[in-house]
Amino acid sequence: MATVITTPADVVNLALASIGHKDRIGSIYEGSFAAKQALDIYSQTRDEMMRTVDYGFSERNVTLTLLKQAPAGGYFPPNAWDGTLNPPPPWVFSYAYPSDTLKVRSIKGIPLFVQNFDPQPNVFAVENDQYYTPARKVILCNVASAMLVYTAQVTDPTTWEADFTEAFAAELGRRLAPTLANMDAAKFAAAAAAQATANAERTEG
Amino acid sequence: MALSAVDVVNQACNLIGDDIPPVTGVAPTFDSSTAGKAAAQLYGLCVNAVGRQFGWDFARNQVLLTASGNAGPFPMGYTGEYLYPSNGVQVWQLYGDLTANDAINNPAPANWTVGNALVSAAQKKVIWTSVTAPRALYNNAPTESTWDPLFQMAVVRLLASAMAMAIAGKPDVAESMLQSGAAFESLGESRQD
Repeated sequence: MATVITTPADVVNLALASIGHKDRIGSIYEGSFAAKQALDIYSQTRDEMMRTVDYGFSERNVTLTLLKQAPAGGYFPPNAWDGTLNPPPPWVFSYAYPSDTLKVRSIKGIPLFVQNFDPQPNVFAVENDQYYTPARKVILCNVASAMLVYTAQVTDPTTWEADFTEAFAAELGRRLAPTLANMDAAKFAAAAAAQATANAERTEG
Repeated sequence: MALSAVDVVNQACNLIGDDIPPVTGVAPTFDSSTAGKAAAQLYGLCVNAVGRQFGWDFARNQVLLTASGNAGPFPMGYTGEYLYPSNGVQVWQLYGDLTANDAINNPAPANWTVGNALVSAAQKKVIWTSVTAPRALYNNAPTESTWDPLFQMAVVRLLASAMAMAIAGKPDVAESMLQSGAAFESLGESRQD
């Protein structure tokens, strides 16, 4: 079904309406006071809201790029651990953190057969590897040729579920209310945002 | 007939009363009458003052900023220095290339700071920013024919307030016009378009 919310300005206008702000914006870049306030918080709020629930629309699967690997035989002499070549023990593999990742959901191996009747969880960790310049975010795990299931930074409002859009707009309203409305509106917006987020979590579309 | 600066000045004079003879000529000099001389001093100031009080829609314009030509480093770690638009009453927003990097759907805040710097040995108002090829949305002081009626009313009253003291010595009128001008300005802020 085609959505009527197609641009960031549409989302901001939902938020402005929810706090009783009398104006609307035409573009988030238009320079009006409301647009300037919204521009400052829009993308950060969206990313934070997208992290809170494992929405289907924001799930992506990708084969990870290997950066470092532990020696096949372990760190027996003369194989000393070298941070420039090896992941921190006890991890076996270090993979690049995809740039559009907001949250790692799980790590899985690429199965030989497409029906796996005994799926196993894989432990992983996200770390900041200071052996790179500049330091970079990496994913550590013990799965070879690992595949990442993650929450991606999905920016196109036309691909969002309606309940996420509602929750996001409510949260934007909560953050904008103290500046653009008043504290009464801010309190109401906070309650509305919590309700909208709870609805979205229940649906988890 | 399109509104002109002299129309605005005469509307202000009408509010002051005292049958002040109509001002003639054109902005910024007007004529050599007492009211004309006062308008020459006060008109532009009043227009810009009301213009800065609110982001009036009719006044919105876009310009690609011009680099000052100075070499960095620039204050506060900014990577660029640009001349403030010469006709700019107030810059409202800076942004870079909106066709790149998903800028439409993934809008990022743009930071900038207004200051002054020596540009070709002259002190100039500048904008420091790290936005690449920055464009500014700003109030470019458009001509009277584009004004919003509420902006016009606010300017007329602020000008009447200033001119009431300048040419008629009427503090009561000045005070009254100042208050009613603020009321119109406030109405303008509740734009519904």
